[in-house]
Amino acid sequence: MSIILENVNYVYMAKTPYEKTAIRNINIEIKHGEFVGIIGHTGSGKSTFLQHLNGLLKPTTGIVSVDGQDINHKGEAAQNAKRSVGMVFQYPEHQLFEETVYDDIAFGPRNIGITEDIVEIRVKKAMDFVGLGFDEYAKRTPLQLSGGQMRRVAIAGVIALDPEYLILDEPSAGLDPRGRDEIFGQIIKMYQNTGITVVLVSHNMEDIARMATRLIVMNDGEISLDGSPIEIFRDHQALLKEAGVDVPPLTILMNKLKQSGLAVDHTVVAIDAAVDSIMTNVRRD
Amino acid sequence: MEPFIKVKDMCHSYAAHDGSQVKALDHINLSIYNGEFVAIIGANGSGKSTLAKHLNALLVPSSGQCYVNGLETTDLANIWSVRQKVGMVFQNPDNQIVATVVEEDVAFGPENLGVEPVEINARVTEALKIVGMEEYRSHSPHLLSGGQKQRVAIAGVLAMHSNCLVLDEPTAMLDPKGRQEVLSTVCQLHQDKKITVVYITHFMEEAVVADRVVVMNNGRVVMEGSPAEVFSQVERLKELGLDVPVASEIAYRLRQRNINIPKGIITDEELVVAVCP
Repeated sequence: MSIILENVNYVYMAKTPYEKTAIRNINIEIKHGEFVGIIGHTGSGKSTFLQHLNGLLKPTTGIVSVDGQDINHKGEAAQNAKRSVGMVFQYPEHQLFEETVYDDIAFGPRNIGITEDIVEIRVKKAMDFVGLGFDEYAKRTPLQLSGGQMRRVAIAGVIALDPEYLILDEPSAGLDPRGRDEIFGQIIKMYQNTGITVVLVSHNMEDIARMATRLIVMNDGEISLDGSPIEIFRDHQALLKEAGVDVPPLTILMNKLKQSGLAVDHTVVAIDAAVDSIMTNVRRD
Repeated sequence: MEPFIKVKDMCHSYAAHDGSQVKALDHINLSIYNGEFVAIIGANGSGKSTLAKHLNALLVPSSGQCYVNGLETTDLANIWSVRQKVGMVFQNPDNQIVATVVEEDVAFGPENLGVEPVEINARVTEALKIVGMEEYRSHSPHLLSGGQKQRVAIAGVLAMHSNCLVLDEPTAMLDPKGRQEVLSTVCQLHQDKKITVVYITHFMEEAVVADRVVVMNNGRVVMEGSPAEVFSQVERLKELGLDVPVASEIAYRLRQRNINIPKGIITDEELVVAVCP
């Protein structure tokens, strides 16, 4: 069970003066149960890469397969394989359009022919997952909710499709710190409880460091680093800088402390561990 | 000294979907002085953007007053003068670019003010130079990065010879590099050109560079002070659903565990000085 990309290249506007290779030579396997973080500067190819995972873009050359099925073939098996990959775009609340929260979340399942009684179960489950009370919100119009609530409705719409793989493109952009913590809290909870595979694109290095089991760094259309977040943030800071991405603020701080002579563990990713590490090394007066 | 922007007992209400009145701003009192850099933080829905839109008369108070450079914004005769003085930059770079060439986009504001073409040309050149985007003068804006688009938007404000720049989460949609570009451009305008800056953000690391931080909650101003004063109140900010810079958080926890370090630490460098041998 995995998503596999083999020698994938994608060229925009081929054979025109604007021709641009957006991603090149991508070879990667995303295994079932992984939590993959993807970072890279704007224009590094992250979004193009994501759109290959559920067949929104077809590779110019190369093969994308989900659970062994080439998703760019014709036929039902390829359709079903694509449907097991749920995609939450950036600013997904811009895509809400139904009159009620219920109908908006139900749109996807209804569209693939699921019967109404099962749709209702799925909608309830999805709303529960994103922390929107069914009785309070189901009948309200999504367009008058707050930004954070609208974001949750949009994510619930993808959850209701019951995906095996959940792809999220910057799910916390524009949310306040509490809204961000809530959304990520729910994603982690779902990851831990259901074993769903998560692929998360974020500019927030702290969140990636905290959650991802594997980190992929994209630069200029290629995968420039692939490994554990702790190792990458610890060992590859020069390459990260070259790729136009930051290391988490906590890592920057711990590095500065270490360079200034405090023997702290600079690989920690959680505040608690950082405080403990400083405590054991700081002089006490 | 008279403040450049003075907000007195200002309220703003609008009708919700069920017909009830929602108070987005609830008796705000705030003075912003010439040359100041004020950061505004607060949870989603706390009234930050509504407040910002009052500062150049995109919205006017339901009650109370808002004065810009001594002019009351509710007086229709003042609107164009207010909007020339105070320029806005919004969150989404794609929603505020109006022209198909960078220089035309920057010229849009002064053109609307009826500035002479020769003068406009000079202003566009200067504005693009200040934000470091001269070489993109004849480029098409849609091929620019997010950070570059925001700098073009800032140049548009400069070309109107505004004294005050109001930025509403200008970096929310940008990657780390774009964020850095925008923030350093704003800091440079504040320092070199003495532009008054009102900067709304969810990134506490950005608010740290301001002269003063204003915290909003439920349509009210609930905290106000220097970054060191505001960000040392870690628990209070967390109650409000906000974050603090990582150095503040660690300093706070070390103090809780009886490590003797000074109050008001907000930057990495201050923490290094406090705990390193």
